[in-house]
Amino acid sequence: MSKRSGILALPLMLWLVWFLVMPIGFVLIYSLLQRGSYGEIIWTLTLDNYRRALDPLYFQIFVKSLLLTCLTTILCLALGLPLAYTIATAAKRWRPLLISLLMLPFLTNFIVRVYAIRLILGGEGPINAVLVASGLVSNPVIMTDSLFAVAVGMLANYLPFMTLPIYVVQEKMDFSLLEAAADLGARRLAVLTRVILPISMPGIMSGTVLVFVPVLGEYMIPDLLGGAKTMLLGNLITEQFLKVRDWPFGAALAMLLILVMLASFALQRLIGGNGGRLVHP
Amino acid sequence: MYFVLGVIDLGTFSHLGWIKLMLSIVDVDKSYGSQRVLTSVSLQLGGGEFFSILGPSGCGKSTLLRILAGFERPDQGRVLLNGADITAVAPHSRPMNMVFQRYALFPHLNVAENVGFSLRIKKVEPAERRRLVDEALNLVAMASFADRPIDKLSGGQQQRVALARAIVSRPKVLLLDEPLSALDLQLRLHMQVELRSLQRRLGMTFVFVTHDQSEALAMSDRLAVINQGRIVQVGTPSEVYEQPDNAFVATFLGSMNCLVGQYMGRVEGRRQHGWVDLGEGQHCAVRLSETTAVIPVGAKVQVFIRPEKVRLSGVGLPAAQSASVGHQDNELPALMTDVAYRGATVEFCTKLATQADPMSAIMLNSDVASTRPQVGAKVKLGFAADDAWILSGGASV
Repeated sequence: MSKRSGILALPLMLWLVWFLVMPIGFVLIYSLLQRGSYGEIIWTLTLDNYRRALDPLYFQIFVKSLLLTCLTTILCLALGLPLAYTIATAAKRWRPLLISLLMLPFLTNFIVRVYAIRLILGGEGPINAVLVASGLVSNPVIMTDSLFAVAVGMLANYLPFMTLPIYVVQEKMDFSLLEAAADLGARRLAVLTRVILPISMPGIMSGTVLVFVPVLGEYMIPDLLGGAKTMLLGNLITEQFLKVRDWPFGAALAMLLILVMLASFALQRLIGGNGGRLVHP
Repeated sequence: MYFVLGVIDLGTFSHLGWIKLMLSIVDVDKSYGSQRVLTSVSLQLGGGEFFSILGPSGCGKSTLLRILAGFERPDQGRVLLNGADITAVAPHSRPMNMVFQRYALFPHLNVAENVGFSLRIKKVEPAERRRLVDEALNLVAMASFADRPIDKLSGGQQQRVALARAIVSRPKVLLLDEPLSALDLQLRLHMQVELRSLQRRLGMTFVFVTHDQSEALAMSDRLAVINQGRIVQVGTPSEVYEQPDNAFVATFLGSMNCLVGQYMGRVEGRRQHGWVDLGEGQHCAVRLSETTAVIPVGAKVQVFIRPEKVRLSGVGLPAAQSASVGHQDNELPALMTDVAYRGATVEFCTKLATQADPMSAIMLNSDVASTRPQVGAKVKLGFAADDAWILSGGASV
């Protein structure tokens, strides 16, 4: 980096130090302190908070959150890939419309959207109306306040974050490559695994990060759709800060969350490190 | 740039089967919506020939190639390979490979992986695969680039890799969709020679689509000229150039002079020659073909003469002049309007009093005397009746 561009980057650097590095530093310090009986901070260094976080009671919340995040990411990928491909192969004049349809939900408030899902899945919602009317079930199936509802909410909210980066890569793909592959003997499946997926890999990678990271820390969706039974990492941390007023323990959990994210980044680099190649020849 | 061929064992590539191979296109029609792209196209080719499909852009030649590759289905008609109907066979199971106009090399694979793609699909053993890839890369003189990523190659190198990828699994027919059009002129001329020599050595049937008439003439064993979705002539380059069936072929290949006049009937005592009245009392004798022999007397006609067949009296050296004496059935007065020096040749542009369009004569520089006629000079244009053609498509003006 030359001196000039160093100066140009200075405002952002200051911003990052002030609003990212310092807060994380505070969280780190808090995580090493103790909570007083009325929620105040006691300046005594301890690792108790971390010890407590690894207690099976909390650890299983960790594992559950991680599993749900993986599931959401995989579902987003499974739906986002064909969706992105459909948009990328649609006639040019339709693409802006399809993209804006994909972005349309972001025009409404996040809470409203999540509540809408709650209504759709609820006992009075359209799904149950159809189920009851068709005679498949006699009483409405309560789908809200469950892990299932949380997964549906996550998927609905985060699908665009997976679809868009994949679309951006595929939209630039030379589609004569697919013909070339077919010409060289590849059937549909081979065209997919040997050409489309490897070329879409950069998009898949960034989509995965864009979904994985916020979903792991998400607390609004589990709160609104998961009910009291579904405690996830995000809720747990929020609760420590806002309800239980145990800042040191909440800070320790937050640090562990950051660690898990960093670990998953490292894992992703390991998988996608060979130029985003899915099948190594 | 060099091209080593002698050292490579071509044994694995020369199948006797190719010699007998016959690819037939029977009465193929193709439309996109209301737009007719191909109309009753029939062709027979094969036997290890270099066959070109030549036509202006938008004439349907690429569509025809895509039908051969299996990317498009004809609305009507069939494609036969050695008598077997392959019209409905998917691209991946046709024994043909294609070289794409923009090469379509896989950006996520390196050179060797690109070339070995079809072998991997066919699950060829790694050792055998490596051998075949090396062989193919050697054939296009790209062996030392095996580990390069595609985006580190020049256009000409990508072209060679695309070629190697298409021939590595020894297809029966190689389809080439304007593969040289993206290269600059020098490289294009060089690749013409290489492609031709590669085709000879492999003995593989090449179907080469191009809009460049000089490319088609220089490279092909035979070629089909296609216009507005119809095949207008099929033949060897010399047949198509020297005996064009119609006005389109005559003007599309090479440059051409065109005189407008009135047909006056046959030349007395000559079966193949007729008279054309150019106006102002000038006539010229022209060759008649089977198709043009039925023109009614008095009809307006176009007479086509190649510029290199036109001689300027008093311009040629004595030796060149005397050689052509006796063939000059026609002699027309004209005014010199321009002299264009083209290195090996000289082009004289002239204007006939009777004609709206200029008429040019191209002569070898070595045949032209050092004292050339100046612009504005009065000259005489000579050409043989055999070199002046009345062609259908130009019969009515």
